[in-house]
Amino acid sequence: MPGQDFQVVILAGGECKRLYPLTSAGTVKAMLPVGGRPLISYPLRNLAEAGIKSCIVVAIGEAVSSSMASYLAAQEAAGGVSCNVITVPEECGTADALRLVAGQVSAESLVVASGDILTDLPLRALVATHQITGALATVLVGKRKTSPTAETKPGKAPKGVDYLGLDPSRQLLLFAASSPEVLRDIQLPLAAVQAVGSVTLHSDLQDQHLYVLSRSVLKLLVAKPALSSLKLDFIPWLTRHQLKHSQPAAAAAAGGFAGRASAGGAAAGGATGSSFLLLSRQHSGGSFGSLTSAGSLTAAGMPAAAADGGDGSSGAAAGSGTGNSSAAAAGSGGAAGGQGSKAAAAAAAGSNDGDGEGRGAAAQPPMPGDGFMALSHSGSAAASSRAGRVGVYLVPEGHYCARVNTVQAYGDVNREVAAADTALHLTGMSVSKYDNVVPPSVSLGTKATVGPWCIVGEDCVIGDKSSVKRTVMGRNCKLGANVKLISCVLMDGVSIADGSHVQNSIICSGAAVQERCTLKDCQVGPGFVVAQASEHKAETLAKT
Amino acid sequence: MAPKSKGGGAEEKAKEVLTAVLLADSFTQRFRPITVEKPKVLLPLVNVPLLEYTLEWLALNKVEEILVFCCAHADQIKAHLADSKWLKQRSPRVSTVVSTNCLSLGEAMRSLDQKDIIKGTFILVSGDTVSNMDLGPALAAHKERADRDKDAIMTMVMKPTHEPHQRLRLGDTSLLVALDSSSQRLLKYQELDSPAAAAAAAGGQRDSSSAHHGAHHHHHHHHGRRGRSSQVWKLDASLWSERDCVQVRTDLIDTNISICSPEVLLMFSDNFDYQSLKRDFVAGTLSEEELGKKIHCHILQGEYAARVHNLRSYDAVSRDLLARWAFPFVPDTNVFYKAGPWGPSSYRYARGHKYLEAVTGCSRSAQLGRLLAVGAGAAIGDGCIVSQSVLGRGVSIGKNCRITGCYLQDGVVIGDNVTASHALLCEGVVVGSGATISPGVVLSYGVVVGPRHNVPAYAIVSLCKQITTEVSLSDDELEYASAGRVSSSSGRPPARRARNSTSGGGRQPRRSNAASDSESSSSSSSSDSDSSSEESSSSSTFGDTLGVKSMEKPSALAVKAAQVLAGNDKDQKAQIAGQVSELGFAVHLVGEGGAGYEWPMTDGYSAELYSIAPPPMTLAEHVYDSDAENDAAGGASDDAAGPGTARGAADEPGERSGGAGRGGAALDPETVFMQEVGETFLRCVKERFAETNAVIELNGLKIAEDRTFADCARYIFTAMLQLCLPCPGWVSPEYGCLFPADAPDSSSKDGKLALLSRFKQQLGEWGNLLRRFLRSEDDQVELLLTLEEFCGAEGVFEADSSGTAFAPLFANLLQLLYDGEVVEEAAITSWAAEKEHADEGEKLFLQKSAAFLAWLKEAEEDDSDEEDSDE
Repeated sequence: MPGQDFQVVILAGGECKRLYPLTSAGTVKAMLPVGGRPLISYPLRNLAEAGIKSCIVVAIGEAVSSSMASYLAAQEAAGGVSCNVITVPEECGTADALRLVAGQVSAESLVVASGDILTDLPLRALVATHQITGALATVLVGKRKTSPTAETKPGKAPKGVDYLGLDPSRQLLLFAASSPEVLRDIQLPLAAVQAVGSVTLHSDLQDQHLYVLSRSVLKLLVAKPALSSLKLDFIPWLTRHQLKHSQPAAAAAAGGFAGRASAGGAAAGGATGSSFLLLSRQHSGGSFGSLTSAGSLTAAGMPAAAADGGDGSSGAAAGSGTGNSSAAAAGSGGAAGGQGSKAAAAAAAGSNDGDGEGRGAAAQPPMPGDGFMALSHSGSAAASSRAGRVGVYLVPEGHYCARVNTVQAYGDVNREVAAADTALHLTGMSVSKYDNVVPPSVSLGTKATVGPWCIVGEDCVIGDKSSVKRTVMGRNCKLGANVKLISCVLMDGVSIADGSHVQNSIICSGAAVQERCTLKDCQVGPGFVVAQASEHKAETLAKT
Repeated sequence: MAPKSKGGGAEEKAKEVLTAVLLADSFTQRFRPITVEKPKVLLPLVNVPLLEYTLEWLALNKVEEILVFCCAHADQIKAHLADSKWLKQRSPRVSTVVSTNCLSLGEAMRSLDQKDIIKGTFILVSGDTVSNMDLGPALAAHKERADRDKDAIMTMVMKPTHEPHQRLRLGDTSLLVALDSSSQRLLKYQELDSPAAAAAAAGGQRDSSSAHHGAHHHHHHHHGRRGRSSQVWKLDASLWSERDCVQVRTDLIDTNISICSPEVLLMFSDNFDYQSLKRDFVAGTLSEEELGKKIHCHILQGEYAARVHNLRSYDAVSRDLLARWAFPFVPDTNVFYKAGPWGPSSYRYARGHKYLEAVTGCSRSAQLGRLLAVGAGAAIGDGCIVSQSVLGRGVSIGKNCRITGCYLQDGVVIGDNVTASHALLCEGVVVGSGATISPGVVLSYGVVVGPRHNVPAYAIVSLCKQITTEVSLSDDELEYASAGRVSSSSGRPPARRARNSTSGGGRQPRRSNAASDSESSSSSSSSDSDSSSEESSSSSTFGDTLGVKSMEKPSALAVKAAQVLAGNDKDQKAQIAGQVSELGFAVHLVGEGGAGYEWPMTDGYSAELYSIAPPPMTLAEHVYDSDAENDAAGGASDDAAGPGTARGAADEPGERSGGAGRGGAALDPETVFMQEVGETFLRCVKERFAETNAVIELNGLKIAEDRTFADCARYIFTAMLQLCLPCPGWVSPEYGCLFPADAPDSSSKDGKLALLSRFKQQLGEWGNLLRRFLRSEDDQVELLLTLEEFCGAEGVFEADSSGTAFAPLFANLLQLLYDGEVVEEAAITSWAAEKEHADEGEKLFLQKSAAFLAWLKEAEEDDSDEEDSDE
């Protein structure tokens, strides 16, 4: 059944050098703590919420798969998603990795998500949109929180930007180019623009690295081993070539139609009985499982309807005899009217199309764009069908979608996950009356305060007169007296000694900040010790 | 806003006079040889001189001062204005500025700057503009911008096309534009020529200018070449440093209407090498970012604007005018001034876009087709078939002629049994009996076509001999009557009908002193000196363009010979036979007894693309398909080869225009019918048809396809369901806007409710329509079976997965249909009864609706109880 036949691949990634120093000392990206839980738990939770029972998790490098193994087993045991972990060599790009698992994909659609995505989007809605529109691929696109222009000097090219070209209806992805660095020139293929007339190139949108791919696209991917990264190579390539590759897809669809031609013809030709035969087709997979759950909704809705249906239906039944005949009379009148006005309708249709007159006459070649003014006066710009194209799914308003792919993003996402009004619901935690999460095992010193939008891990110790604001702390962190934390992320086992002030910094597992330090906008690597009374601003402090 | 140098103070600014500069010369040669004898702006378009459309439109927009800038044929333009209503009325003030030595728009602008007559914001248009746009919003936006930022110096008006073919139809070259999405500031502007168009444009462009002003032209050509060869447009990423969205558009047509601050004139003076507005001024302004000058765009929505800049657009715009797209500029508003023996214009509209003037002499047996305008005094003989044409005043057509897509100017005489299609015949043309005029032919003033001759396609014939540089002029070719053919037309011997001789009376006297307009600063000195300057310049200024040094004008001898050949006097013909053979007319074009020379087109001019005849449809692909070969060659060089999208781009418009043919030829008839019903229904939705009209539309389809009401109902119903979900693949893109962008997740409760409420809305809107197609209980059962098929993605719906989104909602849909009185209880019961005997696998939906059926049965029993008790 085409409806919900899909598989999910989560690309858990590798060590990820871009997140240095967070991922030094053997921590893999997938297991980085976000709001006190491993990063990989967020996409898995999203799958579980969509009722998806299993998925393929691709790990790049043995280190990744081995460090995830125990967590994945534990969450599956706790009723989570059953993960089939596949390890690919370390030098693999995301597209390479997907190519290696392509053999295990049998479903019509494949959801490929990056393991660093945090979102509350209903995955099934995304897949349904993909399947209904018949797109080659559907790309999840989100809006940046801040415009790149804020960080760019006039006349200079912005850094680390995705350039996404959308059609006026914002449903088609016609162009994609991105680079972690600066792109000097945007090379826009003209045919892409000509196909729809107008393309808006956005620098304020981001490819969220969640794709729904049709099987045919997977085949293309396999056939193009030179394309190494999904986002940087394959999706741009696919956008450039979508029109060409939509042809075989369309042909396949046509073939499907042709295959049904006899059956369809038979159904049309005669008795209603023949169309019954079509129902005998086997339904594959658990998609109809959702039907049973729908049954409860139906049943629940029924008594209410029955209650107020009592009077209404009697009236309808009483009137049904006469209603039928009068409807028939009106109908036949309408039919006669229809016959009579058919000529007029035909004439109207003829005059509708501007100067398209007399195409039948011999000496008149058809005009290109004949009657085109009718088109250009019909109002809205031509929307584009996503069939056989690369479609766009914009993250709707009110939904959260973010990726942890930079150090900056790691800090931001942690803070957002701790914020009750933003993304705390992704963690499944519930807030206290102070709008924060402080488990009972935390020991608070006298006059220590934990502000709203904080998550504090188990067994933390917060010393006297310390204050913690907008901060996420892992397990077993120790804060001395008079410590001030503002907008920080502390992983497990961090200790911060008396009188230190830390702001907007990330401190990795086992690191220590000694007395009376001042840190601002810093990243402290795992196990690093910041010497006492030192001051650091916008530095990366890590063991070399 | 006033330029600093002329800072006249605040009071001047407050009372700014809305001024328009109308360029009565487009500085190109695309209308040659017609423009050798008459300026383009006086060329009749649907029997009204082009200039009148522009003037009338400016007047409609309450422009107070119109400066008509004349170069070539200034005398004729002034004479025309003198004779028209424009100089007789106070508002708008129309005055002429004559500057016969201007060779380009740039020079015209510099000349205007020197004359220092423009103080404020002005509208710059060429005299070949046909538009009904309201300038108000564009002007207001421009002024608002200019007040905020004095560097916002110009607003260009553009019109979107919605079909790539539209550009081909208008003979336009491709235009590539990059805009700031939010401010509509123009960031890049590039004419992207197809190879043929590029060559034609090069032909039209003066060579001298590019030689002298290398810098800018180099710049332009560099871009042009790059754009064409790789089909990739490079945009500097720094464009995104100040904005998030850059819109790249290929669907815009430059209307050449611009709103300019006076600074624009200054800039032309500062950059003395600027010639063309677009290639130099716009390109220069955009490339010199450091100067900070800004150009913005105003994009028209639904209003009409087009330029008649070549024969192709002449034909296209004529048809648009006849089809009333430029309302109020339609023949039957009769707003245009028209003099002559038949008096003011008197068109009346008849069905099928036919416009006949009050006094026309049509034979009863003549068939007049659609899109036709016939001027007063025209005579159409017995058995003629005329359609899609414009016939001027006093045109005479013999018996049994077939005229299609032709433009016959005043006084054209056509013999019997002539077939003419897609041709332009200028004043005074005489076509002998039995002749054939092929598509694309242009016969300039006074040309005579011999009897039974076939004028080959795309032939361009004039009584002028084109003077090429190699051939030196012989003396007698130089000997021409300075009065020219234009004024002597009234002296043409009457050809067969008396009224032909008077046809010339419709034209203006050659010169009247009233033409020297006192309000124009250039000609305010005295009428004498003005006319003398005209005299002196007229000898060196012929053609639309002044750059050609040679003089081109029909020789008196040729004119005389043509007049005799056109006549019936055999003696006279015999007399001049010797002279005629000496003249050396192009017999292969005009036949024996014809008069006219071949006017070869400039090298590279694509006759097929730019002629008066519609270009072949195959060219549409050619224009947009230029990189197809690149990519077909190999997938290996993917990234280097550029986009591989061309095939699709070329194929799709064709498929779309084919209607239901999407997805290849092998669609089964049921699927085709489903799509046809679907699209017809969607059209009704899109056009917001009233229910009765929708019924007529769908009924028409039903009858045409010989189907039943139930057949239609099935697919109307499924289309309604599909409207609740994103646009499925088979729907043509124009209806895409009717569909929501995303699908609710129908496995969650929220998603189900969202989907149901969407359908409820559809049912509320179109339930009545559906009911009208459900004639019986059987029809309703059929509908339920369809719903089953749809939800199960079976049969014709197999390729369409939207149904499966509804599968979990089957029972709810059933209830909605029942509640909405689309399906009656009896139908549901008999559907259920029918299904009882089906295989288990087919009972899926029956089982799902079990609860509803049970409830229905209960309610029914209650009802029957009540009914029993009633009786």
